[in-house]
Amino acid sequence: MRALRIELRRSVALGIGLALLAFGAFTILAGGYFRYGGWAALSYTLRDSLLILWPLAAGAGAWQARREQSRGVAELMTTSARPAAAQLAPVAIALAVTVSLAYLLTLLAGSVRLWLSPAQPYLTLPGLAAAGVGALSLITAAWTGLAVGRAVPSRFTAPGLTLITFMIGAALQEFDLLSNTHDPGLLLATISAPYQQDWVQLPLSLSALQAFWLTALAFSAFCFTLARHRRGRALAVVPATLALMVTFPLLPAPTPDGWDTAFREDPEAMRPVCAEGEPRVCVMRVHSGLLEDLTPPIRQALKAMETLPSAPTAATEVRAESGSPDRQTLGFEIVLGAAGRLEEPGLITFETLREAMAPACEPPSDASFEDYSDRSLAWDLAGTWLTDQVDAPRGENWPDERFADAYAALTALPPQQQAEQIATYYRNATGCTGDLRADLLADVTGTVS
Amino acid sequence: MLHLRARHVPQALAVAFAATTAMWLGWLVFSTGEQIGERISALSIALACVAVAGTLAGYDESLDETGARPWPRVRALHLLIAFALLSGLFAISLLTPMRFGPLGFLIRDVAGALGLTALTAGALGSQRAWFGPVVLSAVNLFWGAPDDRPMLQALTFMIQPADSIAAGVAAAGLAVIGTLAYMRRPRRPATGL
Repeated sequence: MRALRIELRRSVALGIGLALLAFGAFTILAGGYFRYGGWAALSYTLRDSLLILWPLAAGAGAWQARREQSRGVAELMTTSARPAAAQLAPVAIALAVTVSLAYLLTLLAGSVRLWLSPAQPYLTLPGLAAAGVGALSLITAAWTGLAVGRAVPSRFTAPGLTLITFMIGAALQEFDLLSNTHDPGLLLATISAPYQQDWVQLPLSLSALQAFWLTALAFSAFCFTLARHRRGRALAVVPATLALMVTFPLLPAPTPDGWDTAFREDPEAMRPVCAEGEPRVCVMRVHSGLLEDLTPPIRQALKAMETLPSAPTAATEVRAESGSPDRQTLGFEIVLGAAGRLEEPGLITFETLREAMAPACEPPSDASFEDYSDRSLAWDLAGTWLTDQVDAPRGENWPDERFADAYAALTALPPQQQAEQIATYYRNATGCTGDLRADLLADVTGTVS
Repeated sequence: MLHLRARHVPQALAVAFAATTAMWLGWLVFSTGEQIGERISALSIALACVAVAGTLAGYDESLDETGARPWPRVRALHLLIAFALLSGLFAISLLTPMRFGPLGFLIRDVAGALGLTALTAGALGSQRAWFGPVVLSAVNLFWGAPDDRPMLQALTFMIQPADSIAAGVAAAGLAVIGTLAYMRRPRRPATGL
């Protein structure tokens, strides 16, 4: 214990721990870089930061290994009666403690932030496992660094190792590498969680597989650092090699779009949870903490659509890529802001209505550019008319400079006629009938263009 | 020659050359484009600068001080030669089917990263000179994307397009300040690490 305390003070352990913590805390607390709506999603998202943390921990290990050698005490130490493992253990444990603690403290910071938000925490076993593998992987990184630093005692080793592992991580993101049947990227602990998709989970089996491989690698690295002769070093590599041979064939295949490979849908997270009262508003279980904030603006959207023909009577959360389940149900997406909160709660009604007014069908294949821009102008007019939020931000998909004039022309019509125009548009847009531009824009564009 | 060997220059040259060639070769094999991704290019340049960082001092900086040499001039010359060598090394790729980036990009990144290395050497001691480029690489890798905001462009100058003004200014500033800081002799005594 005394040796461990001394090593904590005089090795690089404390420094690298603080560096990792500073980096992790910055990603979690500042900038809203990570978006997550549940604890499991936070745990997966944090694994992304290992792209940076892993190489830094490895570099610190390599630098530490050089200390022992550059002081010229290595030979002296071999004369001591203590076994080599007992000599190495304090510094290896000191490194392991600080790097893994830095990761867990970062996670804790994110957790506190999540608990302070209205979001439901949604703490799951696969999420906990993913966090454990993340912390473990940093221990592996530091010990691998120790081994590499011992194997290549040079002043270029530590920075070189850090930058080369950076490159490997970046290269794995740039290329769909090598294997079509097993994703080699999963041998690293870095995993990019799918953006804003809180309903996924990292299967426990994969976490177990990664934990097994990372533990074997850490054990090999520890033994390698201990070994004083070539034979010992060769023996030390055996556990990692065996683990690699077992692990690799079990890794899932990569998908064409890369890093989301490992994630699967989580049925429990997707189970609908509904608010009390009518009309019915439902969200996924993982977002049930946000239901209270969401229900009023969504009911407001339902109310705005009341006058439309066969308007929806209930609403449910949908995923970004899938639309409403049926015409009687209004689908809406949840856009997350920083740490478990909603992004722009004031725009929920507007955004939901605009999505609801989207044409259900693609335009005919021979449609010209004017057809496209008229369709989106009509869509924008209809979506805006329901809330009358003319100044709502429209994003770069709505560049039509005719909007202001067209909207003025539309609202200049008698109220009854306005409602009829919108109803006709809605019927045609959702039913794939008629000509969207003719229906809504005939009167309007006539006066504009 | 002895001076160069004491500063590990042969090893540094070997490291810089081998790493750059390996990156270039790897990209040639795996990619179909004709330019290496800017994140990998920036990392390659940082790696070469880290190799230079190993040559910024001998075994012990305080020993250097005892030599009656015009140290500021020697140090400035050292940086200048390193800059020329690295720029040349990366510029060679312009003649091949796979380049690290346009010439302006390469020169800006080498100048900026080398300046940061020298600045770190001046502030923390030459043994720790590689902290600067490694931390900058981490920032580039994590937050690096072309961005409109000048502050962010300056921070991640190594991966910005060659015509970014903020990135160019940041690199030039680092080059000048770094050279001055390193000429003015490192303050920290060597600790042996």
